[in-house]
Amino acid sequence: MLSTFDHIFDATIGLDIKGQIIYFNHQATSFFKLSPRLLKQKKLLEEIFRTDEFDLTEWIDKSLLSFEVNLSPEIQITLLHEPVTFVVVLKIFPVETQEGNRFIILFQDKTIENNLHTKYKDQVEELRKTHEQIIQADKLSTLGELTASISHEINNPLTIASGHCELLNEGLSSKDPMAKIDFLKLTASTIQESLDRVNQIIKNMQSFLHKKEDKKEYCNLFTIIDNAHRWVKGQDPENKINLKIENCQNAIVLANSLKLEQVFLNFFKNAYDALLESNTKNPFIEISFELIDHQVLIHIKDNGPGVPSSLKKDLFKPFSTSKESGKGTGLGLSISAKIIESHQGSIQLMESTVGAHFLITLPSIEKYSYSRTDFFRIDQLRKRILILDNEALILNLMSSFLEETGHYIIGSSSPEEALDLLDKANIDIIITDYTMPSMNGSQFSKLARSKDFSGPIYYMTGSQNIERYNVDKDKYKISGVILKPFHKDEIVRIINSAVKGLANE
Amino acid sequence: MKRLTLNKKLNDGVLHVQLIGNIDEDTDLTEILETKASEVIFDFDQVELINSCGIREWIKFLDNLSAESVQYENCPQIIIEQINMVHGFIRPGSKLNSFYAPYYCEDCDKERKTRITSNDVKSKKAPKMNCPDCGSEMEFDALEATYFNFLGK
Repeated sequence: MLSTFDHIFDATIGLDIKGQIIYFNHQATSFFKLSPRLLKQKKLLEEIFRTDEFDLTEWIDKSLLSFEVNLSPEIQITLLHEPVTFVVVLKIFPVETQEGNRFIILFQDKTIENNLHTKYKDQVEELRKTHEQIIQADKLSTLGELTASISHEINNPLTIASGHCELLNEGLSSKDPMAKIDFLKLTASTIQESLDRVNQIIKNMQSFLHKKEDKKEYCNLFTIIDNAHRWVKGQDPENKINLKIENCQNAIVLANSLKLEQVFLNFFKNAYDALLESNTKNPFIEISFELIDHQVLIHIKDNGPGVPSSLKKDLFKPFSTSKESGKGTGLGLSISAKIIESHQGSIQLMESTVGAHFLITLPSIEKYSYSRTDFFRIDQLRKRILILDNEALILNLMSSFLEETGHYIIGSSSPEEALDLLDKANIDIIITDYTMPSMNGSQFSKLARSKDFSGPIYYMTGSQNIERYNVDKDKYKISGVILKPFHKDEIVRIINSAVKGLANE
Repeated sequence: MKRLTLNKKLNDGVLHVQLIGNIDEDTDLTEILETKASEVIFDFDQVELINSCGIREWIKFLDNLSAESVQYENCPQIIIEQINMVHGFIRPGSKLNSFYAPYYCEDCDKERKTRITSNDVKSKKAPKMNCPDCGSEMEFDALEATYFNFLGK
């Protein structure tokens, strides 16, 4: 009966109830690189191969005793007669034959799969490193091209500092410096401010160039755009280009702020080059935001000459550039597209009658949070905590405070998006800022309760709104108030107690 | 891992290809396709390893090979085992001229991979072979019916 296993593709060994080899199929002779003559001489598997990190004897003994099907973990076996190693999974199962009970062990060879997996991982890692290097090269190249602009940014405060040093010297050399003490103090303070500005520019440059961490955090798009704009505005010393930023309220995304800064810097640089070189009349760059269907849409428009039609098709591919040789690497937009893709977003060139119009789409912070692959996994111990605040700093602070609790943190900067999320994401606990632009905590809680949200809600507010809490605690079942400024211990304690309350329900 | 290298010689429209190393996922056989020859002879003598990814590459390669005549020579035991197990490793109409078969000399207690030709095998019975050291007749060291299965009935 065991000869049935002659047709199996996997190497197959038959054992008697004492664990001794009584059968092997043809594939076993190939797999173990032993002729049938030699394999017949082997009584135990330990005479054919060794397993260094797995107790094969114990595993077989257990299976013989239990008379059940058993699967081994993925293990490494090394042949005793040849220096050959395989990664295998073993399956043992009992069979009843006319000669009595027997056991079959199948050897599923995972060596190639394992090697390919390692190779794949190594290559992905290599690609990641290369990609990081390209990003870094683009940063260096971009800042290199902006040297004049950055020098201008540094020269301005240095000129102010230098001029005020002269005034300070004159004042101190006068007959009665104490008579001008207020003026001298003001002068010293102006010098300090100017030097602080220089220091800040250099720090920003260092951070932009050398900070490599890939951490994503809640960040305000306006701040990112403003930082990026600072690098290029010196290219236009006469301030001809008008930058308009519209509807930036609540434009908070979950992103790596430095990488996004690089994206906007690339767009600004391209727009500045195009507008200045073409001598466009009344040049402008307009950036506007929309929050539609859990997506943050960022429109970047200018009134320059636009993208040449010959470039449109391959615009986001590397080395696609309209700039003359030696100016620009042609990598900026392709790197920007990759960065946006790594944030689950996209970049598109839109049809436009005037200038260039790009659309960057990023997931809203709520969508980004719940699109995590493990978010909908059922895990009674991990709760879904919604933090609602229109300040990116508060969302980051709360996230870092609650990181150690192991719960899912979903940030939201918009009460409307947060309410929508209640229908989709099985939220367990809500912590909401009380004073928000579009509605206050009471209005939000009322709407949340009307959506049958029965979990705990906490207000996060200053002491001026404590009265509101006293009214709402019964009206909307508000579980507590977190007074600003708050401490980590307090937040963790509140969440632990809320989770305990949920468990007791 | 020893990457596969190919030694090619083209004589009168017959391409001799010597395969050296491992046939695996890194194997690239496209350069053989670029040499247009009506007859190709593959020499497997120095193939050390073939894995399932290599088999896949080989079968895909055969699908694109335009040569009218394909012959296999000096196939080691690992190739014979694959030929017996995997459909498509040999294209219909191809000839397997010679290969290695495992023999054992009891007197010397030595295993020997002995080169034989397909014509030497009759009715899937291993041809008699003598030990090159002691001259004794050696025994075939595999299952005949399984090992010579590729030769057909």
